[in-house]
Amino acid sequence: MITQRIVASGCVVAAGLMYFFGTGHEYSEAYVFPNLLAIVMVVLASIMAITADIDPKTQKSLAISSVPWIKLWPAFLVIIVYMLIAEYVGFFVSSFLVFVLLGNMYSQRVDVPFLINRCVPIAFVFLSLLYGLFVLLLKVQMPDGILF
Amino acid sequence: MEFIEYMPGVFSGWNLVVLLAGTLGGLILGATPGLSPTMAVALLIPFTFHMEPSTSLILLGAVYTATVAGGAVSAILVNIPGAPANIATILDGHPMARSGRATEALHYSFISSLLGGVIGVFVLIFFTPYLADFALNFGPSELFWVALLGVTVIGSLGSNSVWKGLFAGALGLWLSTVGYDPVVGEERFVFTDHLAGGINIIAALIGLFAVPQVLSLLESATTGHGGTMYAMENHSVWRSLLNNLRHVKELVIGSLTGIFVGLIPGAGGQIAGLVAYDQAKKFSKAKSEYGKGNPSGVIAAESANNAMVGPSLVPMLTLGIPGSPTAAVLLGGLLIHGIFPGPDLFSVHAEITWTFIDSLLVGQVLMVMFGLVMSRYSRFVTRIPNNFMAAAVIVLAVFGTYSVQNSFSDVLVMISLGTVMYFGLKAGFGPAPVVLGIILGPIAETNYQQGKLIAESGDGMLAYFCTGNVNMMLIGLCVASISYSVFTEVRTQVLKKSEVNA
Repeated sequence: MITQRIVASGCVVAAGLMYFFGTGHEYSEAYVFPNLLAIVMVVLASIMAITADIDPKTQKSLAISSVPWIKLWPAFLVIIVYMLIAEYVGFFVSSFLVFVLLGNMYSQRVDVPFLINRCVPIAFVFLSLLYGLFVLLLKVQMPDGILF
Repeated sequence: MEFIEYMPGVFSGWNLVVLLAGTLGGLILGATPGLSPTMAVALLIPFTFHMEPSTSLILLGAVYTATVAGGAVSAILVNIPGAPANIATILDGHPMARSGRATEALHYSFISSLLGGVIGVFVLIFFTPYLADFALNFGPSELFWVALLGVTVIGSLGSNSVWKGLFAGALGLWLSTVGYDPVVGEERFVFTDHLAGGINIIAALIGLFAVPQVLSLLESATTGHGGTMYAMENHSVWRSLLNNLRHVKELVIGSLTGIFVGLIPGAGGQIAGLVAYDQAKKFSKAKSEYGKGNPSGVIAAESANNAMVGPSLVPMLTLGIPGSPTAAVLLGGLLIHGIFPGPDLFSVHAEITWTFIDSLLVGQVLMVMFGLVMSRYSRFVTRIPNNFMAAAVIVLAVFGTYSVQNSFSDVLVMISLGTVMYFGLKAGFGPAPVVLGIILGPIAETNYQQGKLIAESGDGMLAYFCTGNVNMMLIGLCVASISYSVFTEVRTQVLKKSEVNA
């Protein structure tokens, strides 16, 4: 399929970039091993591109699955925001919000009673368990941020 | 017999607590659809970082063993394998549940897992010291080829496409070079401050296995698990035990298959279960009864996937080549404690190693005890909604990754790698070769550079790296695994083409 060739071409480009970033350095001996690997990856990706069968009838099992963007974009957004705010807001508060948001947005029921009666208590219990495990038992210093 | 000498260590202090908790937790995790043994072990590694090495290995080993056995619960009750190793269990296990014999099927699965698992651990006990002694002959060139063999085998045998698997393995090796060169100390590929310390193995392990799983769980969260839950009948454990022991042929076939598959690096429980099921059916006088609720199918599949566990650790403990993707993660767990595979495990770290191996043996007994009790309550575990599972896993992944070095950079690396891996999975790439490349990369590079120094003062690179019996054997194995996989892939494509054109 054409998409197999596009993926393989993307791999060739990526491997080429890895080789490019490994050249032109003062201590070139430090880049011998990674550059060898980059060359191997270019060769492997080229073989992938050449052997990608464009006959759709024989390709079902090797077909590339599509990403359900419409379904998953909220999850990606939540994870990105989580990464941006966790250190500043505090791990526990941000994790609580993430748990409640994902639990509610991706449940089979999306309504306020479900949010209050299920998501919030479950998130609270889970985060309490994590607090006990990481802070009390393992004595890990989690970032407090401006909240907790 | 060292394994008897170090047995008391399993029952001392935290070791026993951790073994009990790991076995019970592993059974519950394994029974939950959507959580693979590999992901469960990867998520646990940050916790083990703060433990004593022997305690941490005991926990990881217990979870590995128990998740493989616990996966049968979901396979039998809901027709969804709790782990890839339980795919074959569905074929007869779920029909047994449909015909009102769910409890009986669960009994067979746990008892068979015990019998296969104990045999597998004894293989580990007797094979490993000899192979470790053999590894004493290895110098830098041999260790370099061993590292490459590990990546090559998992890349070629453990993936749907040999080229994608090898590419993923090479990518993992390349990612391991991010950070500082081990000899010259030069900073490499540090495009941002977050990569200054290189890519942490635990961040990579968790990201590559857990994050794609979270996104996959969310994909299906709004549609539910699927599968119909069947009621649990009352059935005597003793009757199940006696009936199970009557199936000697299936137990032998399953155990031997599991042992053989486990010893092959890169193969995993899924292959063991399916091959054992297929062989048991071939040797059966009642072939037509398979697939309709025949206990023989469950017994063969489950004894195989647990018999695989011990032998999969043989190449991992001796040569650093994991026998399964989960063993690859366990290797990461060893390395973070500064324990390297090889002969030192049985000399310098003998107490840690033998206590770990003994815990696998004791863990098999605990697994069947907890499993038989848990059978009654399994229905609750299998119904945990995907949305809560995904939310819990992503939060646990963040906490676990952060706890290793108290570094938020590791968390960012974990999420980034995991997100890229999710898209990679969609395109047919697997995480196991990448993980193994990251783990074995430093070993490959260090030995390559040491070998290069020796070669430059001797007969040259080609003579040093490509001559000698052990080198030739290892190179031969690399070539053989790639050739076999290419041959199989080409043959499958040709057969498919001829079927389509017919």
